[in-house]
Amino acid sequence: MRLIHTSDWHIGKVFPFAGDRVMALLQRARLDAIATIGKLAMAENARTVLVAGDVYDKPNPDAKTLAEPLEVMRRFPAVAWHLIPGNHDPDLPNGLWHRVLSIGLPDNVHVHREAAPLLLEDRTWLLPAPLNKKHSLSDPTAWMDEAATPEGSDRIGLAHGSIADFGETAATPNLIAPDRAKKAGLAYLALGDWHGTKAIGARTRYAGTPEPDSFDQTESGQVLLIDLDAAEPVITPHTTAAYRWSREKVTLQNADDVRRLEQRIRGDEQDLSRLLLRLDVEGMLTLGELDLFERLIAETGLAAALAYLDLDRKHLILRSSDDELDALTNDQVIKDALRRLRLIAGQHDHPEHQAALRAIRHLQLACHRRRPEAAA
Amino acid sequence: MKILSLRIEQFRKFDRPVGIEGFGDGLNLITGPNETGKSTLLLALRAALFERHGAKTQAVKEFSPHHVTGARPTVALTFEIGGKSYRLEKSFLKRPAATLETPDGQRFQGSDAEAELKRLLGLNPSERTSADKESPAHFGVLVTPQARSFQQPDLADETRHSLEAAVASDIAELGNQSEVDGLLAGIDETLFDLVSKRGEPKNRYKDVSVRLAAIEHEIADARAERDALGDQLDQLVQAIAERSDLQTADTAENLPERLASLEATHKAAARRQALENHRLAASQRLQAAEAKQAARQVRLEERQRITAESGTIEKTSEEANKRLGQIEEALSQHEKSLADLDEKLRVLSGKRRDLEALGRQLERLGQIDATLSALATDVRLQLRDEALERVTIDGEAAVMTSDLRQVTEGLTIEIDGVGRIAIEPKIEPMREALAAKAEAESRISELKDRLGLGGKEREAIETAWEETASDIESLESTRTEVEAARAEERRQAAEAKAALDAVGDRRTRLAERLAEIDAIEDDNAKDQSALDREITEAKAALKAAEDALQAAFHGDGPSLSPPPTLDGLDAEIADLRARIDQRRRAIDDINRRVAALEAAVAVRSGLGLDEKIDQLDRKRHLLAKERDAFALDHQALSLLQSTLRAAADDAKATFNAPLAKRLAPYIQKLLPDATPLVTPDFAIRALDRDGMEEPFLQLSDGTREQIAILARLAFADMLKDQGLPALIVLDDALAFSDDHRLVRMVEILEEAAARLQIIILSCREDRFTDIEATRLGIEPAPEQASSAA
Repeated sequence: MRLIHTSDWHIGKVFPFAGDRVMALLQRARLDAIATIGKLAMAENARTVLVAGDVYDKPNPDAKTLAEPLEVMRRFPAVAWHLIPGNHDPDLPNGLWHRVLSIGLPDNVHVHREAAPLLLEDRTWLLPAPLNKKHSLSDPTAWMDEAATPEGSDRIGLAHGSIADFGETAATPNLIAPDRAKKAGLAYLALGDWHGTKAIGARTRYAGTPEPDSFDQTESGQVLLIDLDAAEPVITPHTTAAYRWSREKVTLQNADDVRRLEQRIRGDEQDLSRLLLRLDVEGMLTLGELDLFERLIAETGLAAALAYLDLDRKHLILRSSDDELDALTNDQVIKDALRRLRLIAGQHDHPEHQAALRAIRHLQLACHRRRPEAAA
Repeated sequence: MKILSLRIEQFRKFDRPVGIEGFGDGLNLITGPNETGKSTLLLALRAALFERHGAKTQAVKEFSPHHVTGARPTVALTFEIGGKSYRLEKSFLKRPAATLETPDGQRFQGSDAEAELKRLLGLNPSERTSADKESPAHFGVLVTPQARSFQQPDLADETRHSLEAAVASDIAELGNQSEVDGLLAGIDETLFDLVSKRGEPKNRYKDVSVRLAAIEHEIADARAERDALGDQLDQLVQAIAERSDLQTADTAENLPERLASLEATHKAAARRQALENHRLAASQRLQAAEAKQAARQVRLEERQRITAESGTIEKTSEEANKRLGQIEEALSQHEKSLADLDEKLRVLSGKRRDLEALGRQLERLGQIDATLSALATDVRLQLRDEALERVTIDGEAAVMTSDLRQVTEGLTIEIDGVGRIAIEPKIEPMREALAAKAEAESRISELKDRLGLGGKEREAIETAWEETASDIESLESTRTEVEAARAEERRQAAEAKAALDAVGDRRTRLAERLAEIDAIEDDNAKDQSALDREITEAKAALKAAEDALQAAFHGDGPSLSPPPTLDGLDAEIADLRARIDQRRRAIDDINRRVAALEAAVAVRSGLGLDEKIDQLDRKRHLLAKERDAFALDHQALSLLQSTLRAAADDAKATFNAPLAKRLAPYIQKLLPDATPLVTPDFAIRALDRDGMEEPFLQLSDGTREQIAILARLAFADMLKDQGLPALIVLDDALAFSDDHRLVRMVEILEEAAARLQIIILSCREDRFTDIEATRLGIEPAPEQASSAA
């Protein structure tokens, strides 16, 4: 039997940093990921998709948000989609799943709200472990050990939670025993909650989210194709991500550093509009170099090309240069004021550090405008 | 700089030329009362030094004397700078002209003269000057018009700049004040668009702040909604649990079954009650019919009795009638005989009364006769018989020969052939007796007639009376008897009538009763049969009811315990029903609550609150970012502003240090405990007296005036130190100083006069008597053709 294991769709997730346009793109991408999975399932002849919880990001989404993924799944009638509630969308009384059912599920979509085995096909049984609480200190898969299925059945577990020896403390909710697959005699245990793809032994996997949603998560943006026909499951990751999320920390000390950074990022990515970048910049630049940085990266250039650029420049400070000052003005009072501002701008722990940088930029620009040659 | 002489013509109040010659070094004092033209002198001096000769401003026009048209105000001045003498002459309005003659024999004309003058005075050649400006240039501040001397030197920007320029010789490079001002103006402009004077956000910044606040409200609202949803979900779970508990309790207590059983018992009891009621009704019905029958029997018997009695009564009545008739007959007889008797008695009584009256009349007549005879005149007649025939006595023939006549009334005796003799007694009582006798005789006669006793005499009359009396007695006796008989009969008749009445009453009563009975028993025969039928039926009904009761409760027999009462059952049932109702209501209530909560939850869930909150948070985040950018702009601009100002102030502080340095000794001299505090704008802000700051404007007029003069001295010193010309003119100065201060000021002025020419214009010569000064007066000057060139 071939099936696709995915989880953590987090439909309706809101990204606080994103403006309306980027927001719309990112939300669309999460829905598109479902279609990508559907197409993959068809192409790979895997007619069962297991979604290991957190289909929705919040227990109380908008009605449209609620219906949209159902409609995408409906577009693949030959694929059976098996969903369980996760900790983000637990099955509470009169809650989200109640609303989903009252909308009406497409025939090919199955929501499992009971922890009880059910026959998938022939001799393959699905053991779903839905969550009906946001946090439960008990192992939601514990019941699988005792769950009765006919002799010689293939048992597939579907659950959502952390693995007990991820390093979490005992208080971490929904902890799943790492050897659950073995103890419960599972052919495969499909897990959700972890957003990156992760292997827990030969028969247990986290699929990770099919569309990345964090700068800090690696190994996300894929689904797992599981072939259970062999003695051991054959597990193949397939990329589904539309956007890449990346985080970088760079040090800039001169104009070349600035240019190299710009070139590198442009070179790495074919489609910059599919990259979300968080850039932590530190270092010291002169006024002129700062100008270049603004032009190539921070305000125009990369900032315009990327889907989103989150720039942290708290540690980028101004390098004093008397030559620059002389070029700016002959006025001793203005020079004196600039010296004072530079003093503040040079201390990144000064409460007016940012204000001083901006004040310098302003003064710079104003002086530039006032210079007679500027008018020429 | 030193003024040597001044000559003016056609200038304000001086239409004739006047002049002052012989200005000396040091102090020069020009005194004179008000209106002598001291202020005009000062104005003329300023005009020569600072006014463009070609100017046509109102101030320049006012140089012309009031009554002179087409005047040509002219000022000529000789002065020394750097030990060299110059001559300056300026004419205004009509044919304006300027001439400057230098010691080296050069002669500048028109604008060249103006330019050369500015150069000499150390003024910026491009700077426009005017005499009417309060402070046309630094120089001007030292040449003070009247009434301004106690103000601080008022520094227009250009003056300040000149002064800065002047005092900054020891500073390597002076900041370009106008560039800093321009920057500050630009920052002000940007800040003006960004924040209000009080630093509150404006325009887009404000908009963003307001939207941020609004969205924070929205988030709070949405969170409250989400919390409410959470609460409602909790309540829902609880309500469902409660409902389930109630339903479990309901099943356990099985109240409806108990109610059904009770109701069956109640039904049986009610049926028994109904049957018994039925029997009771039938029995009562029979009793009623039988009673009715009995009553009827009684009535029939009564009617028979009445009928019988009626017969008897008729007979009795008849007899009574008959007897009454008899009695009445007898009574009638007796009445009649009584009437007869009464008639007879009446007649007899009349007769007896008449007889008695006759008797009395006779008696009376006898008495009257006796009386008469006693009274009568006796006439005795003795007639002879033969004469008898011829004698008539009272018309009647005399019958007796001897006759005695008692004449009472008269007596006529007629004797035939003789005549008549009339005897007429004249006695009155006899006449009365005669009348009474006549009446009695008439009465007797009448009574006798009535009694038919014609001629009968006394005895007859007495007899008649006795007979009559006897008759009456007999009749009365008879009458008494008859009356007695009648009374008896009347009593009997009354008796008979009463008896008859009693019979009548009885008969009436019987008739009424009979009518009653007949009324009741109207349809006699039919009634009877109906009653018979009723009794039969009632008996049958009673039997049926007893049978039914027997049949229904045969098995029960007399139960050991008394059967439950209907009231008791009713109470029990009502109680049970109330409990069932209560439970039903509780369940309904919970159902309603569940429904309401489900609806509310559905509505709130439909709002997608979590997602909404996330979206709002995102917007808040973006707005906050925008707001922070504005705030940073604000902070940056404010920082830039304050930094620029601080830098500029520091620069000025460096620049105005020389002023403070030079002013301090003067102030010390005047006010030994005070230090002047000078602002960057070269103004004296305050005096520092032992650490207490005393603002300039709060000082007395005198002190302010003195300090203002000292400031001018310090300026002048400063200018002089820079090698610039300096001159001090004080118009009506020290008017406000007390004597003590005046002495000090004069000392200071004298000391300063060692370095500077000081010209004092005053209307108070007495104030300056002890001063060592060149004393000057305004003198007429010879007419002098001004240079035509």
